[in-house]
Amino acid sequence: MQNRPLQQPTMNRRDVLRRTGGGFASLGLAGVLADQGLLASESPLVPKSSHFQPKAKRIIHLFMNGGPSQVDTFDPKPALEKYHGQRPPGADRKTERQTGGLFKSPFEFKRSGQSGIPVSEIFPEVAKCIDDICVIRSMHTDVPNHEPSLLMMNSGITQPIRPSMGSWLCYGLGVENQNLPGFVVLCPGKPVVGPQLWSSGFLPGIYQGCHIGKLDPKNIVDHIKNKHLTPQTQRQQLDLINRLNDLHSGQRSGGDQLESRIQSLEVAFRMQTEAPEAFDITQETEATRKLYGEGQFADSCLAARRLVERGVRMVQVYYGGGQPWDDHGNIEKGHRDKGQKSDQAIAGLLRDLKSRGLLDDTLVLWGGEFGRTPVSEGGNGRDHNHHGFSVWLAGGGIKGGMTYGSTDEFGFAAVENKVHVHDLHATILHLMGLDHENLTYRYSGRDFRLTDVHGQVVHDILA
Amino acid sequence: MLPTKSTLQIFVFFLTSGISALASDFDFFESKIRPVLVANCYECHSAQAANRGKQKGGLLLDTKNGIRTGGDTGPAVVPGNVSKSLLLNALRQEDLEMPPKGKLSDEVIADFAQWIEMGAVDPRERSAIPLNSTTVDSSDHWAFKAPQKPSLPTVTDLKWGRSKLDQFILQQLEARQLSPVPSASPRVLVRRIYFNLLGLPPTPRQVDEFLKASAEDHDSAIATLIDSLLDSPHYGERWGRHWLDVARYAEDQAHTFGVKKRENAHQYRDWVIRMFNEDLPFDEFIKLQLAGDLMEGQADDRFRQFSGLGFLGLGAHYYKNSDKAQAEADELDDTIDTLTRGFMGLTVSCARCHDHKFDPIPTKDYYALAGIFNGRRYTEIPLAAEDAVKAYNSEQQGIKELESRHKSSLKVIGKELGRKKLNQVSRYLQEGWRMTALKSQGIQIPHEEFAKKMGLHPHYARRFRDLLEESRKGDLLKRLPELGGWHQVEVKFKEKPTLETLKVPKEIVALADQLQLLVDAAEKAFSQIEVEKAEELAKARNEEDRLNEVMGKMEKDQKRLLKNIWFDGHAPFFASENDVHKSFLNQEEKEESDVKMAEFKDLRKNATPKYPVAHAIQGGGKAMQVYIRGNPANKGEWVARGTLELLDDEPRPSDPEEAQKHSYTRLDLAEDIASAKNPLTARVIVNRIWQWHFGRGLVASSSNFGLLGDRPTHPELLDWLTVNFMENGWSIKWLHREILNSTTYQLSSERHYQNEELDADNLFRWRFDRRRLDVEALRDALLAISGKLDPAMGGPTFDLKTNNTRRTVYASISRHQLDGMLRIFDFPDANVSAASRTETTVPQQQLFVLNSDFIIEQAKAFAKRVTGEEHDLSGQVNFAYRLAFGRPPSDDEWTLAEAYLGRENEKDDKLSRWEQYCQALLASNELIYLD
Repeated sequence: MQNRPLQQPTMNRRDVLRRTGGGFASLGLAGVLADQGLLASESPLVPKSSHFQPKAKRIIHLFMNGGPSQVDTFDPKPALEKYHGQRPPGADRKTERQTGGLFKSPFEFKRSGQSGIPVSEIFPEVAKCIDDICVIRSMHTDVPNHEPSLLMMNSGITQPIRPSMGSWLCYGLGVENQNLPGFVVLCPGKPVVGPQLWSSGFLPGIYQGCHIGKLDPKNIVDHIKNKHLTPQTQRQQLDLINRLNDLHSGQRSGGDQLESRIQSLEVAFRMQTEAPEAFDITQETEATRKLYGEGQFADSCLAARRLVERGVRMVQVYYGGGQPWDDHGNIEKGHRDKGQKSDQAIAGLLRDLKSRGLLDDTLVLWGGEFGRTPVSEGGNGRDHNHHGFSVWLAGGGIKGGMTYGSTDEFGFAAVENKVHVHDLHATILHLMGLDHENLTYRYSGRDFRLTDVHGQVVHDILA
Repeated sequence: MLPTKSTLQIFVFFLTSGISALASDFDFFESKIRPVLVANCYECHSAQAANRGKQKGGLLLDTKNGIRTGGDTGPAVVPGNVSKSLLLNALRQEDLEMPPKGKLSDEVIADFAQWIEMGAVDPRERSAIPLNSTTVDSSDHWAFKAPQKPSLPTVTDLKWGRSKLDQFILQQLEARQLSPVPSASPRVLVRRIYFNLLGLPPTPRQVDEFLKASAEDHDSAIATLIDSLLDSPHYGERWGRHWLDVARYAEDQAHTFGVKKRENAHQYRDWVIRMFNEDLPFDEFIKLQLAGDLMEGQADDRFRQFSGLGFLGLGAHYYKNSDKAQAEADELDDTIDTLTRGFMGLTVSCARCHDHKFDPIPTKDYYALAGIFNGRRYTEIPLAAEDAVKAYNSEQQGIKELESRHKSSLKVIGKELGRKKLNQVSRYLQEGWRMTALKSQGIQIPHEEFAKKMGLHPHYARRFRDLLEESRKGDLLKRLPELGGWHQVEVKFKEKPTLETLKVPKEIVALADQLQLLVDAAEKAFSQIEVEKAEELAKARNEEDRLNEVMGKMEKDQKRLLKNIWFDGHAPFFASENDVHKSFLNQEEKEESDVKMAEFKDLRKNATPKYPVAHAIQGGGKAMQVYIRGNPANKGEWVARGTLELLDDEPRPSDPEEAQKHSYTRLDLAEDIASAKNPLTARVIVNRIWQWHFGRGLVASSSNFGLLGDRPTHPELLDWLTVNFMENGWSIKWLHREILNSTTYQLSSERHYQNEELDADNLFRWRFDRRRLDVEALRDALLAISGKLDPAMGGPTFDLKTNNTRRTVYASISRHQLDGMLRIFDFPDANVSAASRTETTVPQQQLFVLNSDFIIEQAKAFAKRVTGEEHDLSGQVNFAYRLAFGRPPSDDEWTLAEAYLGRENEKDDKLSRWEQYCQALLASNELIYLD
């Protein structure tokens, strides 16, 4: 009986690494090796090829949580002026709360850009970028409550037990930069629902969104900072671990698991310096910082650009903790205020991405979990509205300067070219090079999808 | 308006329907309808689409029958009735929108309308392509046949293998020209077996003892070791945790709204641990989890009988604000998914929306099971003895009564105070009018100041003002219609009035005086009843009740008046117990009352803590109708409650009436699952145990034994183990002994290149697979090595972030936000039953090992332990190795240690060289990977 190794395997990954200079000379190398199947093939994070040529490689989702009002932002409705205070039959739809008569927008809309798309006065700077934007005015979702709708927008189902889109994207496409999480969620505090919005569900836990509550480069990823040793000493310690592991492997004629953990330790060591750097917006020039303006949302948008630039697959920027856009009362004051605090940052992000050539393959999505009613709540506010609302897309693979679909004359319900959240998901996956019907994960005896059994790609908005 | 020709055709159609249609109708269909259907609809609504799995909405438009029966939402075409034909609705893009690519031309839509009005003549009796049968032929599927005990296989190498189990393994190896690697060394084995059975490393002493015994008689040393570890209480902590993965055990829910953490969730966890330690027969283990409350006996041990119900009681509890029916259906799905995959390895949830695509599980089976739980309620079953529960309840009741007695006395004071004021109704009303009138003129006078100036009691002054507010007009009219004209009295002010100058108009005075007379009369009537019925009223429990009873005897109108002016919470002359405490008691009385309130608080605090409970779901069992496509709003046939058809010889009653009456309980289900006749149950658990020993089951898809699951690599072995397992009383510990004592289990984890070429994944077990420690074993091992592990068992959970030193199995498990350490080390999502753990190797894990407070703390303790117990360097390093790896260091390792420990500390480092070194040992592959 033959019990000893007969021959060495043809390719030892570790040897390859050593031959190429010991450890990771550059990220590019990691990518190359992975592409050649030479690096930690069992690592769930290595980049994977998409189903077809992608238009967008990464996505920034500007999540206006709470639900911005479509008739006060991107879907003007002159009929509201005419019927102000009345409640004609078409405006008599059930939402979460008691509502009154139609309520005209307190904001002016100006035709903007070459395309002449009307944009509310609360977004003067975004209006100047409108030719890069495609406004979908015919969005709809299932229920007028925050929790299920937030879950629907994030994971395509109203119950909190499925993977989020960011996790699906990391699962489908892998992670470009091994030193950073593939899916980052920027939100001061937490939005309503919280962690389930970026959950990896039944997908491996490593695809879960990495929530950053405070943009503190020292504390962005769990355990990123060694508080006990100088970098030099830590390097010595890691070298000791490597020697111990070498001896251990030597006694066991190697093994893939052992090799990949050795690599993983090296990556972790490098992450300690690279990850904080990625989040450090103070390294930007003054001009760039000015472009985005001030405030936490502006800082988050800038950090989002730094992250996608470094290969993070998806960055979600929540407008704020809780549900800030939820203006049940005084929409004029509330929406104007939030417009003011986000307008320059959003426009700054689009301009910055464009000037760096990143907008071509970076998708930007702006929107909430639903919209608001054209009828008033309490005289000057608006209730939740799942029947119809607006979101917009810009960048990677999107036709700019257009609107798609429409709501009824009051802006209550989507009527023409309706786009369900499932359709939005299908379209986003399509842009990222994934067929939403084929991005599946076998779990509990069946193949699950982000879009469940739904979803149609909206081809008309693709460039 | 229809063209005349069509009208005529309709007429003709009705005359001739049932006989034959006009040839021109067929022409119309062939020229205007069929081509459109083929071009725009068949892609998703035809037999061909269905056969390719691309059919949408349960709708077939390629036959007459299909188009008239319709899909999930109803008939697509109702001949002669355009408004009821959903096809038209969809084409016109009303509620439905078809085709998805865009609206067809108005002409085409008009053709369809005309066709339907004409009677929708349709020659397509049969589809061009036959529809594949959806019933699955599974008669030959191995897992649905009862396991048979096979005879032992013949093998060539008669010397290899200790046990019968080994012969099954060897037969496959020989058949595939694979050669088993040699056995692992005793040192490797002792570590393997400790981690495997207890989830802990052996101590240096335990290693030494085993090595000594092994040198004398290896096989008997192994058998003795296995026996002693199976007797250890820590065995249940390790193996109970495996089951908790399947049971998707957690204490909370995935979402945040309106859910309470289940404070007694740990009772279920502790029960599982105890049952594993006691080696409760597995069939019994199943039954107690599904129906312990419906079983007899064991009344003396309520923990044992009821705590297992947490299997269902700790299940999903969803947010029901937006769509209750859907949320309840999703909760049922959690139950069905967990119990069918968990116990029987069947993915019955797949049949929620359609017949199972691969296994013989029709949708009706799903609803037969769901009906057993439909309408159930969440309950908490006391685990304490009845008298302890009674004692607790009566203690609580006692405190409540004391408290309510005190409150009642304050309430009565409030009533008496108000009653004394009833003769001042008119005055308060008039002053109240003045207050609201001044306010309406923009003159705000605080009610305290007003009351003081006018000699009123501020409490009542405020309440009268509020009563008379314009905005509360509606309430006033409803409660005191006598004051109907109050808000119609208009006063014009020539100049701004003041408190001094404002006069009450005569209309108001009249209304107030009039009400005063009525109140006086009512009060008199009240007093009269008190006198006349004194004898009867004396029986009242207390003064509060007595007053209520008097009120109950009042004539209707007077009662209404008194209630609304004095007696009820909204009445102006009302003062609650808190009002009395705040506004009417003098200093001394107030202090007395405060003392009493503090006493009640103390009583509550010092009362016996609440008895433990089991979280359960009970009741329900309402037969269900199929939810078409899983949609609760779209109900189909009635289904009798029952088990899966494939497990049942007798068909369920199909008549709707019978189906609803047919009884089948949770206990019936438990018995059908935990039965030797069930071909799946015993096989599934035997396979899971195998998986938890080897890393992969004989059937790799351990929660899916259906047609799409993996086939067993060793079907005879699985059957042999299964039949013996049942014959040995469904004893898990029997199975452990069988497996652990085998040569197969004791193989080394070495590589073998020739074997790797033939069977790289080691499906046929030519070696033992090296595995990374799971998060529980890793954390517990780090604590054990550092010497900080607290071996206490059971009880409430703790947060891992608090750096508690208890075993990981006792940590809090959240569905909402899983602890970071658990998550990065592949702990499964507790929202769903987990068949196995994924094993990833990612940098986040290494950051934990390099930088986390937890690892630093263990490294420090480990260094302290090692340097404290031994005094020279070689003894220290030796002890460190024996603690961490159960062996002494090699020469190379010794050299490394000497070099590293010999260097001076850098001044900015906060860890000593020894601490750094110990952390390196804890971070090394040898600690994390088990050979």
